[in-house]
Amino acid sequence: MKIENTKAQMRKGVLEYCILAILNNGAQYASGIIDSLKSARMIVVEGTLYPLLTRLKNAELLSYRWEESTSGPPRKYYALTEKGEAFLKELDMTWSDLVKAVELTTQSKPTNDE
Amino acid sequence: MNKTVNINLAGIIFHVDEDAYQRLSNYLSAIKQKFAGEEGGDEIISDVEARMAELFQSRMSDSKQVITKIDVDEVISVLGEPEDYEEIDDEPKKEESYSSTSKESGQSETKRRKRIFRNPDDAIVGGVAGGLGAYLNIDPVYIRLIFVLSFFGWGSGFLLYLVLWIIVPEARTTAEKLEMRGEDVNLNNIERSIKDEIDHIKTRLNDLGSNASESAKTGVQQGKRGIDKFIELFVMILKAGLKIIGAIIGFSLIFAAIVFIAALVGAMFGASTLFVSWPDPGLEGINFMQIQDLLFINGNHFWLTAMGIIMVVFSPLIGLIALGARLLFSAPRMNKTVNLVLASLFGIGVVLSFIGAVRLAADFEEKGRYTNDIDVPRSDAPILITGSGDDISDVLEYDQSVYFDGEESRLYSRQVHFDIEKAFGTEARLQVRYFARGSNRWEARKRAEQINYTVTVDSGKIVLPNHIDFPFNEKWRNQEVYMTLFIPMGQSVFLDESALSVIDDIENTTDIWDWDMLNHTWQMNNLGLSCMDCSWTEKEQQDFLQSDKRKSSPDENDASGEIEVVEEWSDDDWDSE
Repeated sequence: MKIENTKAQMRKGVLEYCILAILNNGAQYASGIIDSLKSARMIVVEGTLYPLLTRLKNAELLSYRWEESTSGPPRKYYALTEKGEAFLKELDMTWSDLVKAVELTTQSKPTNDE
Repeated sequence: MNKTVNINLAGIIFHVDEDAYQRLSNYLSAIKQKFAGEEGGDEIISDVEARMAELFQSRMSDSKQVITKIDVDEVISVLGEPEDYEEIDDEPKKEESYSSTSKESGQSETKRRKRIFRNPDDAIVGGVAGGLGAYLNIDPVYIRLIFVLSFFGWGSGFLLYLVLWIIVPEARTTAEKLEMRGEDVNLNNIERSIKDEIDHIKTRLNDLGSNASESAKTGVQQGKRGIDKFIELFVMILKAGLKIIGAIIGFSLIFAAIVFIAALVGAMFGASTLFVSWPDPGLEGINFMQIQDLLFINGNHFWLTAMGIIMVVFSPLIGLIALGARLLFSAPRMNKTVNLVLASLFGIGVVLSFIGAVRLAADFEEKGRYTNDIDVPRSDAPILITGSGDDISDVLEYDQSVYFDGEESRLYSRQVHFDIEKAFGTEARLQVRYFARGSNRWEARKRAEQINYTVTVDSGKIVLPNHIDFPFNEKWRNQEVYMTLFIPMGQSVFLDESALSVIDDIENTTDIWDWDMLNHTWQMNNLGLSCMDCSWTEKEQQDFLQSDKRKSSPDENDASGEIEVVEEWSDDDWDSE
């Protein structure tokens, strides 16, 4: 088992959650999402994102509209759908549960060692 | 100086250095391959292309107009290598396929379309069985077993193997090897692949819609969804129908071609009775290989013609199998070279068979004749004309037949014709004419002389065998015997029933069929050959001749009403035919 794999798996799991969370603050162009994720060091390359966006869109959690760009081709602006918002709320709860659970287990660990 | 290539990326034109172009095109095709056939794959690719266009454009200025390899490398480093791309098809989908289909765990991570390839990693001869095994998800051993067993089915398996070897490409790249394994070909997957295709169309329509009406209201979209559903259903039915029809046609094509090949091969090696009887029923007891000696001038002539015919017949059959395979397995198109080779083989075949046919026709060019006159002693009683007891009708079914007697190396034929005519003098005479064909008259005559046909002429009796025979090495060159019995006025003959197969359209005053002339006595008089013991009067005979030239048995002729009689006769004619 490689540590890189585990890290990637962990990131992958929360990536969708992060995207939905970013879009919850308002519609965003793909590179905007990327910038946020990059600055948070969630992803390294953009390629990771496009398939994920398409998948979320196909799952009807996201919708997009085209917007003309002054420099380059038209851009897709992604926004959360109602379904996406509901989904995000559920993820929020799951996330806090998870964090609590992780905290509990990691904090109990030293006591076990003692 | 560098050569540049113009590319269109998301609707924007870029000038790209050649090496940069190579890198870019490799990158994009790797991405395409990764998402090929996946849900939303097209969309991902166009998203990536659009992003690339944007990144490139930000690097362009008036002073920098060409994209270099460095630009491409940097853009790729922003986007990430193909393996960094998130796989669309992950856990949830997998679970679905676990529950719905078999437990193909290791290979179901990608939803590739399955195609048939030869497997170079699992090959004993050409990798055909290995590839088929991978395609059908069976152990190749069973397929090899079937092939080996079918080698004994007149070599059809061998031929099929060769054909597959030619038309099925080898899996060379890793992608092709993956494609070779692909998914199981079952109804579930066919359904899914159809759904995918519909999704493609749907997303395209959606994109089109959202593109056109940016401020489209949800109500409109609701309506659009209804239309989508309708189109979806329609396309689904259409696609499924086409796929099934294609598969059926493909299967029939392959099946027909294989049966035909097997039948041909079977006929060639003498198994004609098992598969198909040789088209010409006249060649009883002769298999394809013996025709070589029978018909063709020499070995070279035979092989030239045979090769020609084989090429003419087999090239289209291989083409048919390839077409069938494409419809059935969605196997790739045959490459151009193979097509070209098949086409030229066909062309060469046409030329060769034409040469062979012309050469053969030349050997039939001239007719040779050899005549033998036999005196027939005068007899007061009717001369009895009878067939010989030595009949070969059990082996010769048709008049035109040639029969090969392997032990005696002789050919038998029933080309014997007997006629009766009026003699000029007072002596009766039987003229026997032997005919054969050859490339020149001399050769044809020599061949005619080789015909063995023995007529026995006694006083008051002529015995006519119903067949001729000639040496096998004389070949079949339409050998025939024509006989004419010239009888003087007043001489009568009796035609025995056994002469049926020999008599040939003997002219007589009543103008009746040959078989009705049998078992009657006929006398030569002023009018011609007249029946002596037929039970009809002169008057009836005249009526009969006038009644629309009808021909019938005299025995039946005791009716009173003319019209009725005609009807009865016509019925009898049908019966006797």
